[in-house]
Amino acid sequence: MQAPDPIEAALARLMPVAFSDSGLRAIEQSLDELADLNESLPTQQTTTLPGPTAAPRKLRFLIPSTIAASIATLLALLPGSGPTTRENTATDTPSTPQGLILVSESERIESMTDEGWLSDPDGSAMQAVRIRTIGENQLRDEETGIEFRVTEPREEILLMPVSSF
Amino acid sequence: MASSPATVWKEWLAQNGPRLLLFARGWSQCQHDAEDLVQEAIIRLWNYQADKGATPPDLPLAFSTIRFCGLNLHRSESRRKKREESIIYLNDFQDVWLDPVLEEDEEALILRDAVQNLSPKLREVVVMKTWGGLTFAQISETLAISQNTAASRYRYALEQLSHELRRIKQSRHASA
Repeated sequence: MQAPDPIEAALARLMPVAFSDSGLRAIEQSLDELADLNESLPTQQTTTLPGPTAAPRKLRFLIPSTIAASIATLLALLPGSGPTTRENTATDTPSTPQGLILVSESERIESMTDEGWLSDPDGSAMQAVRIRTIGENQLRDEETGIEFRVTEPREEILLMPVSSF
Repeated sequence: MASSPATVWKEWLAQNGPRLLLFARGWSQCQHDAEDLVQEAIIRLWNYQADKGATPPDLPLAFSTIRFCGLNLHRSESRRKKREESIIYLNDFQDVWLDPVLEEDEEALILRDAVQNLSPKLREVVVMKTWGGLTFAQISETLAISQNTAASRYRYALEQLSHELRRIKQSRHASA
C-alpha cells in the first residue's frame, strides 16, 4: 500500500471555512422561495445551454422571484383562483390552465454580446455569443377580465463552431 | 414522512457547502462574493434538477456549475475591480479560505496560503481532489480535460506546494 504523500496529509489537516451566517441564510431563503415557487406557480422554460463541460447540459431559467411573487399575489386576489392550482401558462404549448386565456405571446432578443472564443471538449474552437431574450405572455382571466403579462427574461450562451480564421 | 425538497437541499448544503464555497472562493475576490456565486449556482442547479426528481446534484455537476458562474462573474468583474478591491481591504483583512484543524499546525498554515496562491488551473484540481473528494475521472469531466491532464496538474500542484513549504520553513529556521 502506497504511503500517503506528506503534502496530502498536511492538506488533510486543513478544512474549508463555513458559510457566514448571512450567506447561509440567504441561500436557505432562496431554497425556500424556489420550493414555494414550484408549488404555487411552476412557470419554467427549458433551454439548452452549452457550457464548459464535457457533455451538453440543459439548464432552466427561473422567472425572477419578484415577478413570480407578484403574479402569485395577483392570482391570489382573483376570486375563485388559487395559486396552487395554476399550471404553467408561459410555454410554447397552446393549452392554458383553466380560467386563463392566452391572449398573446412574444419573444424578443434584448441584446447579443460576443463572449469570445471557447473550446469544446474536443478542442474545437467555438464562438460564444451571449443572448438575452425576453419572453412575454399576455394572459386574461376569464372570470374577471383582468389581463396581466408574464415576463420571462432568459439568458443563453450559444456556441457556434468557428470555421474560418 | 418524506422531507420537502428544500429540506433535502439544505441538508445537502450543510454537508457539501464548505467545499463548494472553497471552490467558489477561487473565482471570487472575497468570501461574500464566493457565497453569492454558490447561491447563483444552487439556483441554477435547482432548476436543472427539477425534472430529475428535484434531488440535489452530484458534486461534479455542482463544481462545474460554480465554475461556469465564476467564468461569467470574472468577465463582468474586471470593470469594477478597482472599486471592490478597496472595499475588500477595508473589511476582509481576515479572509482565509481554509482553517487548520489544529491551531498551532505550522505546516498547515503555510500550506493554506500556498494553496490560495496556486494558479487557478492547479488550485481547482487540488480543491476538487482534496476537499471535494472527486476522482480524477470526475475532475476531468468537470473541467473538460483528460484524466491524464487532471492527474498531472494535481501532481504538479503538490510539487509546488511541497517546494513552497520547504522554502518557507528553511527561511524561518534560518532567521530564527
